[in-house]
Amino acid sequence: MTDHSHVSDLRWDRWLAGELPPDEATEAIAHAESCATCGARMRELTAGREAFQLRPVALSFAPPRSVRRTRAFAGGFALAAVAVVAIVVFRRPADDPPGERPKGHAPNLVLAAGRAPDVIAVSTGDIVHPGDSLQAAYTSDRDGFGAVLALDGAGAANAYVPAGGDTMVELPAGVDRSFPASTVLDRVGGTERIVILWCQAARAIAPLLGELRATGDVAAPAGCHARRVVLDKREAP
Amino acid sequence: MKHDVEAMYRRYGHSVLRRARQILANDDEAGEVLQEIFAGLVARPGQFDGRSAPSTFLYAVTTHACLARLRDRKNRLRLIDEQVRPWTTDIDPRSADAAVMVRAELAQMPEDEARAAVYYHLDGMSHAEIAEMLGCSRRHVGNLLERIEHRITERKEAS
Repeated sequence: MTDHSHVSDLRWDRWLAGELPPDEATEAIAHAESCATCGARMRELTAGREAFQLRPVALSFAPPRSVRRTRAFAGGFALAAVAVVAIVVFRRPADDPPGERPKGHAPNLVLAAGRAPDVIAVSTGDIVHPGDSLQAAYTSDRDGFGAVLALDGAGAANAYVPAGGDTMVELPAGVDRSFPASTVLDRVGGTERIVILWCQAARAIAPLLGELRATGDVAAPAGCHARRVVLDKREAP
Repeated sequence: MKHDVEAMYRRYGHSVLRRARQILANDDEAGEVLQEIFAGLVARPGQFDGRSAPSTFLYAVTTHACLARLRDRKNRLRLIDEQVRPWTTDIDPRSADAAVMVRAELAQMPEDEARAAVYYHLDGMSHAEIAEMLGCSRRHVGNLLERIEHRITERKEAS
């Protein structure tokens, strides 16, 4: 048997998950552009992933003989029921088991995207579409201040939160609380880099946007925590 | 943490389900494997220790879960009864025919051969990628694939 000359499914899956190093990704895509088999496979796997993300298979995590735990998981962690996932993101059930809160004092920062009621938690590598809403959420045991900044595929840096003004918004301590505004994505395609910031003290937005525009990232200032999510914005199929 | 598993499900669930379907050729069972794997991660998050990439980890556990099912007596009987077309060595290793033939043999193969067969014929991995998945040398992968080819050729001759 000879070695395969095509790009393996593992490589495409790693590419779709954002795991593949940039040079290997470039190589795989270049190969797919000149190889009909691999080009078709890449499109097939990409479409399969998108279809799964839009309509994930419903899973149940309920142990069969525990009514109490059945309720907890059915209400709080039915992964595929996207509306329920939104509940996980924004309204964690009160009887969640201990140990699920952020360790130490670091806030937990979450980004969700989609169209109501199908708003789901997203992470780097996920695909979003123009018209989707973006909503950040957080869990923190301290009051703080926050912002959601974005660098779009055309290189434009914007503040999604605050929607106006040049100061971070107040974020009272709480569990799975939403940032005070959401954003509807425009039609500019490509990479959408989102930086969610939580800070102990309010900071001005303009310098942060300048840094994002210039460097493609924002280093978390002292007393701040950052969560970065890089999304792939494409036209809906 | 549940959020970690949830994020993993969102990102990799499609791959687990697709591969389970490829290996088992049964949608219902593939769904059960998907459930089994992620429910297992919720119950025992420590089984993914982060030393490998999530995709690599999930490829390995999916393959293991599917092979365990294939070895089930009921499944084995069903597979043996399948209509299998004759094996030819020049067949495209990624073709549907090759997948059917490999599936029919998986239940009878030793674990390392079965895993190599899945990675080569169903996932289209290179020898290097299979070696990384199995934690062995490329030379050993070559030996495993030779044994698989021999096994399937024998089956062809016997039929």
